[in-house]
Amino acid sequence: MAGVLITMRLRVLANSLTGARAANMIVGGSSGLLLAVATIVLAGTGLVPEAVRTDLFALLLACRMLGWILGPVYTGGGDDGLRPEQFALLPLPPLRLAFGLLVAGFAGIAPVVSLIAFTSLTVHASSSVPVGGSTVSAVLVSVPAVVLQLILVVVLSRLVVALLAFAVRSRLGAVLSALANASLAVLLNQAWVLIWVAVESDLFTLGFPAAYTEVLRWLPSSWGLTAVRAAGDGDWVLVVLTLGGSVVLIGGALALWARLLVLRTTTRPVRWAPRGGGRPGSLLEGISQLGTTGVVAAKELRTWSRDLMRTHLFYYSVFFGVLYTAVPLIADWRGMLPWTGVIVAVMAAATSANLFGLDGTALWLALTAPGRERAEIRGRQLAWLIQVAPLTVALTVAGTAVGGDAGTWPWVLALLAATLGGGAGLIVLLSVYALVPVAEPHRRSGNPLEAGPSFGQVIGALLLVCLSAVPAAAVAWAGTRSGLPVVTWAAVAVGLGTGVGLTVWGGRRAATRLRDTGPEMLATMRGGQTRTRVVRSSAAELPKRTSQLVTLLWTLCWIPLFPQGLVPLVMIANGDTERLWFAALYVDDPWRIPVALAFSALGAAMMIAGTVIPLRHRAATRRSAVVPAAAAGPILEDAGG
Amino acid sequence: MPTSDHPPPALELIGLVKRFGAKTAVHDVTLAVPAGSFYGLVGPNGAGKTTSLSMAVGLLRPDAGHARIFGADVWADPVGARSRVGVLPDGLALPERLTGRELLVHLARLRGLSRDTAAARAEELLDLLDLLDAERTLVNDYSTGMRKKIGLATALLHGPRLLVLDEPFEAVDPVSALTIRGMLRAFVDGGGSVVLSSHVMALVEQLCDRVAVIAAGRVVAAGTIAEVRAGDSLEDRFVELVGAGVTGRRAPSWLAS
Repeated sequence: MAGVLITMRLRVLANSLTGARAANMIVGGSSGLLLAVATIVLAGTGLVPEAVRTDLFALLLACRMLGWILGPVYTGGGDDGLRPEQFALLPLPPLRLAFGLLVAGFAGIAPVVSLIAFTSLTVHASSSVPVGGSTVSAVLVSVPAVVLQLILVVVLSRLVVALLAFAVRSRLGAVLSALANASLAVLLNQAWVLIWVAVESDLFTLGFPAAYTEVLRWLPSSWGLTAVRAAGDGDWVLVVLTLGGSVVLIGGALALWARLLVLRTTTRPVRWAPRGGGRPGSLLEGISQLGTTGVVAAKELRTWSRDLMRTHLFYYSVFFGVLYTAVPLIADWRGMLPWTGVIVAVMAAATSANLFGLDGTALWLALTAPGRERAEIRGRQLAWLIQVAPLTVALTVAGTAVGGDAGTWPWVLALLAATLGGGAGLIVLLSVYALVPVAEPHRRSGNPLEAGPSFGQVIGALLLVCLSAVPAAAVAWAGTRSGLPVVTWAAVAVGLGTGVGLTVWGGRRAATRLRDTGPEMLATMRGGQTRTRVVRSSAAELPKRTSQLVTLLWTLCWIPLFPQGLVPLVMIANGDTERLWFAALYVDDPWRIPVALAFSALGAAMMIAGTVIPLRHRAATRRSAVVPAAAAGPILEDAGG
Repeated sequence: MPTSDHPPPALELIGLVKRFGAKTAVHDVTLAVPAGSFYGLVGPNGAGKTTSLSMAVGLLRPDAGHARIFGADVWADPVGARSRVGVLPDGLALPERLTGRELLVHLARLRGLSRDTAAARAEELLDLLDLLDAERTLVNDYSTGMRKKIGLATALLHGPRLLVLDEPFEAVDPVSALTIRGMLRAFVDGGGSVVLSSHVMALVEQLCDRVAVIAAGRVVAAGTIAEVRAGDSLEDRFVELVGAGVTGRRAPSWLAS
């Protein structure tokens, strides 16, 4: 049976290998391979000082295991090649099915790359055995160690995905997966802090602190390494313990996974039943007294708290902002704390830019009750502000009280007002102008990772909301620069002004657009229209190399733009002296601003290139011919009837 | 222009055309549903029934043609047209994270009804459609039949004069179906008009006084049931009209022996 599953999985993977997926696979595969080679080099050569070599090796092994565990979480919920539900009706015992799916899971690029990486254990065995030890024993033991290590990471990955798929069907699960997701995103964004701390504390000459080493050695990811070293030392008890431990762990994980597969295919999530909520005197009832706008806002607020996807997105924004500014505390730097509220507001806007898309075809109700477009939009804005504003204000006040000074207040208040107002205006604008169809709410599995918002839309919203804060920031900068507190404080008024202006204007534009193109929006969501879909999917039609380049540009442009560009500029303007990991602050004065500007320009240029390349490709495609309907993917599913 | 002697039809479709890419789903649908009639729309799968009805009520913009509700053009005068129609679309989402009652109250108030009226109508509809037991269930967790019923309730909420219902009886249990038929009958007897689509010929024959047959995006027959039937049963006539070659009894060889 495993053979059949393997061929099935390979077939599915091959059939779903579109341009963007192929690009992802190549980028992921080659960077994984690079890391694998680095691991082998580290394990087998004297490039790294002996003091940290074994620890660093163990750390890399732990990272690879963590990658296996978190990777599927980050990329959206695991193996979509073969889903256990598809085999639920087969007359197979669960353990056999789990085993078959596990074996099939080895057919792919990632396991092969990891196998290569784990051969570093053999390399380590052949090169690092201490004087008097047995290299032959170490190398022999490394063979089963490599195999067991590979099976272990794959089965743990499967298990975590299964647990997650189970957990995310509840509200708590949606919140927890938001935490996991946000942590990983922050880790990627703020990794510089950790590297900086490592450099500052002279890790490479002094070695890891003993406690770290101890913890690292006990992790299952290090058991193979421990077995190999023990074999070299002739400590066979430890070899049996570690290798046996791996086998037991694999068996246990497989059994648990089999159990979860049964639960997943035979139970439905516990349904959440609403309590009162609409009784006279409650907040929601109070809001719904505010006319039709209030009615829409009350419905939206209920949806924010009951829809797992929206819950997930909202908490993601909160965790992202809080963790983002908390990580520098490791380096004892509080300067980011005042910005927590602003970052949460920006992220909350970025993840809310598909309000109508998330509601799916429920838009038909707004279309059959015409004349209410304004209320439909204003209600959504009101609900978003009620959801986001109090929290971000509290975070801003608390963060500034702890980490700011008198000069920080006008800055953060101005930018908070601007981003909240800009967010409220832009989310509805983007929701109607850049609608991205996602799975219908009642057809989602309940896994919020499954039908998340599109990357492009999030990035677009992120950028526009940041742009909406530019006037307020410019005034604040002018005030700080000229040393006139009056001007700096005037930025708050500017922020409020642009915020209110954008909210009003964006809402009005969105309502007009909704009135004029409501049926087209509905058609887009039903997936029955070719016109809009062709435009959307053309990103996937980019040639593979170009698509890779665009992905790369969008992935990397943030580093020069924000942490190396705009943030140092703000710090220079504020007269901060902490240099941290900001390259521009390490050069001497006439060059500080130009270097930071150059980084910002580089980031902006990468971003513009990332936008222009697909746009030009799209325009060229449109000019050359009418795109055949077949190129737009599965568009005609619901067209008939 | 319609005059007071000649009341405009409840629903009038004139030359509706809809293309999806290379495929033309609706070629030319022209229909008139007289006020006070119970009108059935039948056709095989993929004939263009849902597409036509979507265009009729303003959920899908036609590539050509017009739709009028009591004389008001659906696209030129959307507010006038749509305030007099209640719609039950097939397979579209609802605000999924509301309970049935919350949904009805919410929609009623969006239609401009007062809080008390909204609450009273929601209560009555939930009671009539046997949805009171599901008081604490979100629409998201409704069964297919319950979704149909709550959809029907949203169509009735604001007291429309025309109901456009896409497959209203699909997946609905027999008892509820009987209730719905009773409600629709009473609605027509009180001067209302109903247009419904269905695959079930017997139901259309029993319930409707007029019928139109749509095949491959065109109206191939329309009129009173007796006219369309032309002495045959509606089912036989339908098969004849849509030109399906009746293949008789065929089954997989390993099951047939």
